[in-house]
Amino acid sequence: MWESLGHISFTMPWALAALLVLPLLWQLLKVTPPKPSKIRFPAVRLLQELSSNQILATKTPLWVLILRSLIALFLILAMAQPVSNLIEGHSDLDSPLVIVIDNDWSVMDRWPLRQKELEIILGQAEQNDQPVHVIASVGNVTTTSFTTIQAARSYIATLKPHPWAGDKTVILKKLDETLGTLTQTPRIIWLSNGLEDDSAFMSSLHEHGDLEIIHDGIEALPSVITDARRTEQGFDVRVLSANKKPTPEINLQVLDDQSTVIYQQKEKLSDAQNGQTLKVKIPNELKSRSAALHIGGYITPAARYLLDEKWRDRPVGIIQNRHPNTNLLDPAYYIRKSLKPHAPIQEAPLEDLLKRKTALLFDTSQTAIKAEKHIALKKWIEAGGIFVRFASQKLAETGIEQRDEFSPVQLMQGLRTLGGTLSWERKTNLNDFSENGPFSELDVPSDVVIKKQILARPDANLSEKTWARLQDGTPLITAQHTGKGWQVLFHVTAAPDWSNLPLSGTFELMMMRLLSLSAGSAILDADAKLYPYRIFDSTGSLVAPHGQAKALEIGKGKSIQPNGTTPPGLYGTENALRAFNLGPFINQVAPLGEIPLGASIRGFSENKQHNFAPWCLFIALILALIDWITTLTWLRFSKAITPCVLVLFFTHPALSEPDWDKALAAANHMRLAYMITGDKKMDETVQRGLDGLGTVLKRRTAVELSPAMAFNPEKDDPSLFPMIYWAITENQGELSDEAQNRLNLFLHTGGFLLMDTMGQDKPALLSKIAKNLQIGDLQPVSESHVLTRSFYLIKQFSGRFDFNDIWVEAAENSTRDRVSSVLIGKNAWAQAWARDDSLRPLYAVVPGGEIQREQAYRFGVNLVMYILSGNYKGDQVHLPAIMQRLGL
Amino acid sequence: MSSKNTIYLAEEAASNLPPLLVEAERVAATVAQGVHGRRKTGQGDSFWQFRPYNAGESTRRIDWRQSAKTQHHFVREYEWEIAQTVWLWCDTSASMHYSENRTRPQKVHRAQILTLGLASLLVRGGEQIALLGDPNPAGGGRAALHRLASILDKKRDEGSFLSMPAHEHLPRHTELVLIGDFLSPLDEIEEALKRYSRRHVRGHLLQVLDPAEETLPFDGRVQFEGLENEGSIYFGNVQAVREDYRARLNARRNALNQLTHSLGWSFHRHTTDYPAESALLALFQSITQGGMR
Repeated sequence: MWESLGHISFTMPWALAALLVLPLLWQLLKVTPPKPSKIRFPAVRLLQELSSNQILATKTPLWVLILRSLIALFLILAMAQPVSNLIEGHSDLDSPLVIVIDNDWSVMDRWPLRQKELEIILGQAEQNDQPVHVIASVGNVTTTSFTTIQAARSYIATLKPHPWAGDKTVILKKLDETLGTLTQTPRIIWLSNGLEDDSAFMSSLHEHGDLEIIHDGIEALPSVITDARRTEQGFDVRVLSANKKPTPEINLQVLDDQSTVIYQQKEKLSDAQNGQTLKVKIPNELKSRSAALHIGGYITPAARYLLDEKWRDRPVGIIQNRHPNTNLLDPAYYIRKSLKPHAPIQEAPLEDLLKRKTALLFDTSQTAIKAEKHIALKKWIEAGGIFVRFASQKLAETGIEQRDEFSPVQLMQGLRTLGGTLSWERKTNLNDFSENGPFSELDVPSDVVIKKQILARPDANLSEKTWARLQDGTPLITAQHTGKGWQVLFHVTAAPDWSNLPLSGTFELMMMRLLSLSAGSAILDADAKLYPYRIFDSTGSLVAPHGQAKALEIGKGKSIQPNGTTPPGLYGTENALRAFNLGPFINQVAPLGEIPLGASIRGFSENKQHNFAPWCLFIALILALIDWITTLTWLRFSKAITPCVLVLFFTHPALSEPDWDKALAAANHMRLAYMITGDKKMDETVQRGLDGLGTVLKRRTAVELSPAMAFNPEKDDPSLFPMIYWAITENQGELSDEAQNRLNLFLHTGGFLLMDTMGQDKPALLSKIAKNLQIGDLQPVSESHVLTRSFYLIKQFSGRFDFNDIWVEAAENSTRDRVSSVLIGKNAWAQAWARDDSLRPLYAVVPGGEIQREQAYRFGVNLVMYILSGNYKGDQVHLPAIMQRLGL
Repeated sequence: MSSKNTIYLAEEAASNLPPLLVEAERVAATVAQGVHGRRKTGQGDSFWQFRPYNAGESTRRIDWRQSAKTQHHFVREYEWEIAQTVWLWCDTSASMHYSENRTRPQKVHRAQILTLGLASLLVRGGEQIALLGDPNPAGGGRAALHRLASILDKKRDEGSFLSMPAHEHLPRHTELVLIGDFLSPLDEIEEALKRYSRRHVRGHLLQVLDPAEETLPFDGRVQFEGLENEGSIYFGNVQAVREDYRARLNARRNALNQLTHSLGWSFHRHTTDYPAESALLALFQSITQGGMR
């Protein structure tokens, strides 16, 4: 931080002289205070009558003085143009400047750094008024000379790195041409890619003038994939990297054709400056999807190795049976079924298949191979073909006493039948897949049952040739490597008559493994002309080809270098693509060698010079705004803002957050609620009381109540409950304003509150609690009140106690259809209703008798009915009159 | 604000008070029938006396029920009852169009509501009301109330600079209620009041002020400007003069109080942060009790 701030210097230091004016300004401000605020005031006459000695101007407030002086200070600083990291121009002011810049593949990911550096160099040249010549090393190599820096800047902005390597000899030639036109020894700046290429280049540059090399160190050198080959397990990747310290770890990625990473593997490089081969183990399913290999973190085309094998066809041939069977007993049917989604399949006689290009040949019925075809077939296998044979009845009968040329092992005559009627041996299962085969990663299926097989003659290297064996150790699949190809023998048929292997899922996986084992047929003919399909652009991504890219002519021993006309990328048509990678053309990745004596070398400038003048102006503006606001409306503003700030600081949003789960539970079923009193025993009693009432209601009426809930007035929404039972106890705190408002709203919109002092007279407590609740005038429950007949006809409102003073809202001034919203009493109904788990009453009723308890329940039923149906029963008083009028 | 709305607000403020009857020892001589008995026969509703029938009078005047009890004919006479007229005045000058805080009503608005509230109470009591400075004769009933409201609205919108009532020729022994801020020079006020007092007019003053005028809640450097072209005054530090100002205001109030006492009038004060009912109650009491505060 301080380093970067330490180098502030001023472009126009003379402007600082204006700082001398500051004290003058201070004095000036002191004499002329800011304008007072104007207030219109009716009683101004009284003010005018006041003694006049108060009228004199008080001095300008100190903070106004400081604020305004700061504004002036920052304005002066802005005029002085403070700049950090000012780069001073060189002493040889008028010598021409030649910039050689490497814009080849290796600087792609470091290009913005180079453009910044060029900006700085040009800015410097602008200050020194030097002529500038720029030579880019790749692309259309020409010297571009500029008389104005502006033109140079716009040229630099159009410069782009190209995805191939440059030719240093061309540069030297161009440089010679350029220097021929110059009269003075130039200063040469080489923005190098940091790669050792040809040490003669450096020295010859130095011969032409004062050389300054700018490069970004060994750490930034790229890693390159020079080669990648498919193996059985995955890929062998050859990586070239500079010898960095500490030993670098690279992230090898496998991309699919959408450039999505489908697999990645971290590898430590130990000896990569000469090329190191890394093994990438990748599951077979992913392998078939892989389209490119990539070193994570690099965007150069050399760090991406395109694979074209994905597009290579691996056609499968099945030798046609003489008597083609179309039913499920045909062995070829199962091979067809399992390979159809993955490869094109041809069925033809062997002669025809050999003429066509096939990667895999299946022989299901031990076709007699004519002698003249032997050589052709053998050649085909040695070139990389895989010849797969299945056992058959015929093979078992004839046997191959003499070792068949196309059988990997010698076979014994006859058939081994497992689990037959006259056999001691039982049917057996697959034991394991051999480590050295392509099936080694498959799971061993437990449901594959082998009933018959042919046996291999024991041999010294039989186990090497075995890919799969049974539980007793006899080989089931044997194979032999011949040339580049394989001969494979399945010791069972491909039809499900000997075993159920062809029916299992394992069979399809095996076929796919065999397919990916094959190298694929080379579809590329010699002398093909391949048109570009996707090529790398300057940002290292594959794009549609531009006009300069020409067709790739391969074959005839031509060696094509990647360059402007044939950039690296994918060539060919969409169905048959050929990758043209940059990697194979890179021989070494090494840092720059010996620097010629006298040449200077440095890294890139780390930070750009920064102009602080806009910031100074900005601060001055902000201060001026503050000054304006405070002098105008200081008082009102602060008055208005303080409550807002206080509210922001002190409101705690979590406090009023309702419990949504509880609200949901309350809303989904009808429930009574009770106010939390803080007294645990009381809460439990009331809950049991309400539940006991609920049971009675369920048994006797159509009202089905879910278990009662506790109601927290500070948090919960009361509107979800038809009634809240409030057992009033001594130690209840006062409700908050918000809770009171909620309860008032609840009472106003049809809620019901049962306030029960639990057998005691507590008028003071009751009035304290009900003080802020908007309860209308109260009256005792009259004899004709709806409560006395809303379900049962009752006269007493007994609870645990039997007092008579029960109060409800007077009907006259109730706005809710003359239905009361409160009932206040002291009969401790909840205690009368409460029962324990075995349905025994918890409290004895006073004065006593189960008749009183029954009365309590009846009161409860009437109350709930009253709450739920209002004065419906009250209207029924008029029923006889209505009936009479209707003539009924 | 429409006059209807103002009436509504005024009647709401007056709704908790009973109809207002002016307790007047001497009632201005008018012909309007009212509730103030003059202790002599005349037109009215209450019984005054029976007197023997004099020949020549219309026989329709004989009270037959009383005459049937005796041998003579009697005529029933009623007490002469007339209405008291109350003259109202509400200051609608520019200085009344003031409210320091936007949430509070302007002084003129509060004064108007008080005037109308009082008028409403008087009308309900059967008294006559009239607006000082209005050429129309005094009237009773809701029609007079509505007329009063519309005139007040019009006057408020005119926004004159006239802070004291112009001299009007009032009947003797009428009641006068003046509602305003009484911030104009004291001698002007004194002269106006004395002029009315000479005609045996009994008056009540209600000073309506904004809370800001009571406390001067400003700080710092302020240039105060009057609303009625009184000029302006500048203070470098308002805090310093706050106490002086309050003392000055109290002195003004005491002077007004003494002046009204000496005339036998009453003086009340009201700030707009208090409800209108409180001021109305004070006026009501002093008018009904007929005494000084």
